[in-house]
Amino acid sequence: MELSPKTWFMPVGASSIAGEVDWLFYFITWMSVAFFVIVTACTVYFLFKYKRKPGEKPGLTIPLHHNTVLEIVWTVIPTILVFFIFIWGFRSFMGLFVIPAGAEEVRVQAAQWSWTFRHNVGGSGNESKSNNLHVPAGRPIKLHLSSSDVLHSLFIPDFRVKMDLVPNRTTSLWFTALEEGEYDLYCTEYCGEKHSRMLARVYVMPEEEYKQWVWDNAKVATGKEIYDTKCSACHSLEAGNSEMAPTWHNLYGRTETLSDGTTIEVLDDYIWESIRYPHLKIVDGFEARARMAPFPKQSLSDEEVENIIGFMKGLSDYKADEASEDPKP
Amino acid sequence: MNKLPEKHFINSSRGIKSWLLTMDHKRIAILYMIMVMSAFYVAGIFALIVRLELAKPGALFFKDTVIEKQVDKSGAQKGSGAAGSTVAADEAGTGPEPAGAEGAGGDETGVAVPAAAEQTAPDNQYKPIDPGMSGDDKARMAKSQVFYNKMFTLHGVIMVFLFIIPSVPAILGNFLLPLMIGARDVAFPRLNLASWYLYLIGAAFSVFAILHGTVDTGWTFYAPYSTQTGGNATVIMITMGVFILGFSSIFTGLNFAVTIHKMRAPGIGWFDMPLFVWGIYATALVQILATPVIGITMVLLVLERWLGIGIFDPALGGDPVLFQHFFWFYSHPAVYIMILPGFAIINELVTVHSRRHIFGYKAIAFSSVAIAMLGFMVWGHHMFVSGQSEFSSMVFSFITVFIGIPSGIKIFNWVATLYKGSIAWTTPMLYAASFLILFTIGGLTGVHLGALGTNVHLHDTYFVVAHFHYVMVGGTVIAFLGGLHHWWPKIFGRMYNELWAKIACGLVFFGFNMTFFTQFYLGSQGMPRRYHDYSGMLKTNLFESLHGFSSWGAMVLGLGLLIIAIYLIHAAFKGEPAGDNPWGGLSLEWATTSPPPTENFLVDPEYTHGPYDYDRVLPEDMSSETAGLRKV
Repeated sequence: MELSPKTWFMPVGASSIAGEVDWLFYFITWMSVAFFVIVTACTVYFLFKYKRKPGEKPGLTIPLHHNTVLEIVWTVIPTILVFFIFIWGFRSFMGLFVIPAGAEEVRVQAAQWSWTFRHNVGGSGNESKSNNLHVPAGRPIKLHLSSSDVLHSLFIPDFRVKMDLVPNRTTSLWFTALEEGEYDLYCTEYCGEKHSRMLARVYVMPEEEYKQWVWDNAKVATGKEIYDTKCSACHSLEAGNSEMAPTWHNLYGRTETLSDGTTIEVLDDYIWESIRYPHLKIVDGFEARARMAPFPKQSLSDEEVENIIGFMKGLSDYKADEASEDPKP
Repeated sequence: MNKLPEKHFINSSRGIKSWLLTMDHKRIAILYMIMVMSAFYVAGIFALIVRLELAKPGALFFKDTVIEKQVDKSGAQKGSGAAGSTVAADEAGTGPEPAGAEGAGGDETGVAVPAAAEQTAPDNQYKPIDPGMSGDDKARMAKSQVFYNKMFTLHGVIMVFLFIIPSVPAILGNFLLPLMIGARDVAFPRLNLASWYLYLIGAAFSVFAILHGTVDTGWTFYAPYSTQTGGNATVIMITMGVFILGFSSIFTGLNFAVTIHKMRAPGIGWFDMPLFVWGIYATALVQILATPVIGITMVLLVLERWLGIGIFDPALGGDPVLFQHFFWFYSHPAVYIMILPGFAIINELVTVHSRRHIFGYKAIAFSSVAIAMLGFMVWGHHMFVSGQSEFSSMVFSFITVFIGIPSGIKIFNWVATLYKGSIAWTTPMLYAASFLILFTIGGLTGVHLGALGTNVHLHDTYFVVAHFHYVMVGGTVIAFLGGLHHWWPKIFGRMYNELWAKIACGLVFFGFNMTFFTQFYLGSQGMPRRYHDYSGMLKTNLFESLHGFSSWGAMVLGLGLLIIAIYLIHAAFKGEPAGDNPWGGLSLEWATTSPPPTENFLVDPEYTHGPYDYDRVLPEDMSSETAGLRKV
């Protein structure tokens, strides 16, 4: 991997292709500086050297209409240079678009005005969703891009990558992040009112940490999905119970009074029981309401129950067993 | 002491009707000048509003408390994320303002305590939209965003379609083209007047759209956003405006092409014309061939919005990338409609004010035509990251890098023209020198953008904004201002104050570089264009200092342009009479009175010498009585 040349005009080059792009950028820049100096120096020199003195009456000037050799020189040299630049630019462009085999795939969905990044959770069929991009360092990542409304464009300046997201079409790009850290990700195709707020972060982390993150994040995400499809009809997420059932707001860790007068702390065990056998212990005040149907293993897997519990934890201020929670990156 | 001629085109007839129904190309040029320059200054004010908004991160307009909260130098980005972290599940939410934001609504101190929260907040909770904002602040922020989007759209639309496309051809071209080829008028004087009225109607449509509602599509009108945003009436109005303005442009181009082919005075061959005419000719060809495409595209856009015919909107089975192809198939050649007339002017400035024969006449003439032709084959370089095929991108990049060659040749020729001249440090000459410096920067940075690998990084950042402005302002506008200063004494017969003119020229030069050179750096650092706000980024502090400097530059530039307007208008009415040939030019427009008579020349002009024959003819021998060299 080429390292980025010493940076002064470009930002940090934190991806494997940044090096080549930067070399090309600086090559063109220095070439431009050279041409600029020649043109400016000649112009300024002639302006002073051949300045008409005040009061001077100019006569006829030299009959120099053209100079074939000079004209060929200043046509051919730039032509060769730009041809070379074209080849070089094309090479680095192909590097941007030929995606290496075995790249980790992240699906990106853009919408006015947010990003959603979806990762597969190894083998489980679950997804890990986030509004920011998390990637492991040192491994090729392929972004599979699509938009659900208008045009957007994904741009990570420090990685030198950019690609439009087009509705009803998929595009892709790839990169290998070299250094762990935090990077900005922008939308660079004007998409309306909050275009300038369509920002996200790229978190580059060690491989192990990344795997852990995908796993942890998936639990939370799918817990919410299960809630949305199976629980939200009766259980609310706002403070205060609904008529139908206790709210999940601050439920985890709360001490509830049951219909037989005893109390119970709502922790993993009670939640497990209430999902599998809801009729066993009913919170006081809800015994006359419509009974919750039991969810056997066939309709809600053990893993999914864990996801729900994870989701509930996120809704709660309860922090007693915080130490046992999975470390977040 | 110089005197104005007794009768000239300005005083030959009086009354508002004599102006509004005139067929005189010189009067039409002045009608155009009034409208086009008004558009320029109005759009300039919009640009200043845009720069003001960007001077600091956060919202400036309608801001009240917003700005202080957004500008948190120690990394508001982290803090804003932390505030929303209580509801972990929102992480996967699809809306930009998840429930967490509502929950924190009304919490005025939401961002004030980021430091503590930073420790515990999982970093994946980063949220760019400040959830600590109250509902009121959010409403103000939204208002400010919409206002900004409207401002940059209007700046772009008005500058491009109402100012820069008609500027040189419709004002200076109209005035000078017949004079330079020794004609009495353009080929179709009625068509010429009609083009001005079309311009008025197109401008009226645009003004209506501005007053009526929100046009926030950017000057590029990219679908499908442009088929969804705002009210139907507004976007349809402004696209119809562009459509009508396109026809105005076609009429002008057609008129000029025919005039150059058929109306040259006896003895003037193709290579005896001033190069200004060649530049205008190349422009006219592009206007005729390319402008219909934007017309068709705008009609398709209106059909889609109005009747729901799916052409660009994928929801209706259309293709948004097709819009980009259509749009740039016109708009890339259109940038040559904008810059070729600038080139055309520079030919005259560098020769007249250095009294030198142009270096490489044919090379310059043919490079104009080469640019006009090649310009049709490079539109895809606006779309390297649009999802078009990599093969197309390769072809477009290949042609693009070569289009720099003819422009480079011109630059070298102009510099060589100065060699061993007798260079007068007049205001037009200073503009020509500014042009050589600024356009060189603009052209060379085009290579960064034409090469594929670097384009991907720079596309849609401020680097493009800077490049575009170096070419369009540093190139065309500087040349146009130079041209106005060069021909002002010819048009009005009166001279402006040279001292003020030089001060203003310096302000424009330095203000422009302050504004836009900064933006090259902003862009390569990754700052995206069309951003209302840049708070909450990792580089907010860097961007703030650069944007701030750029905004100061814009004020200097604005001041320079204001001074120009004041002394030029003053000079048109009250300036000292300038004489027929104040600079000592050899082309035919200097062989008539200033201002010229309605019929352009007192007698039929005669071709006695080439426009650049400073090596064998003295301009002092030019005479308006003979419409050519004084008889010896």
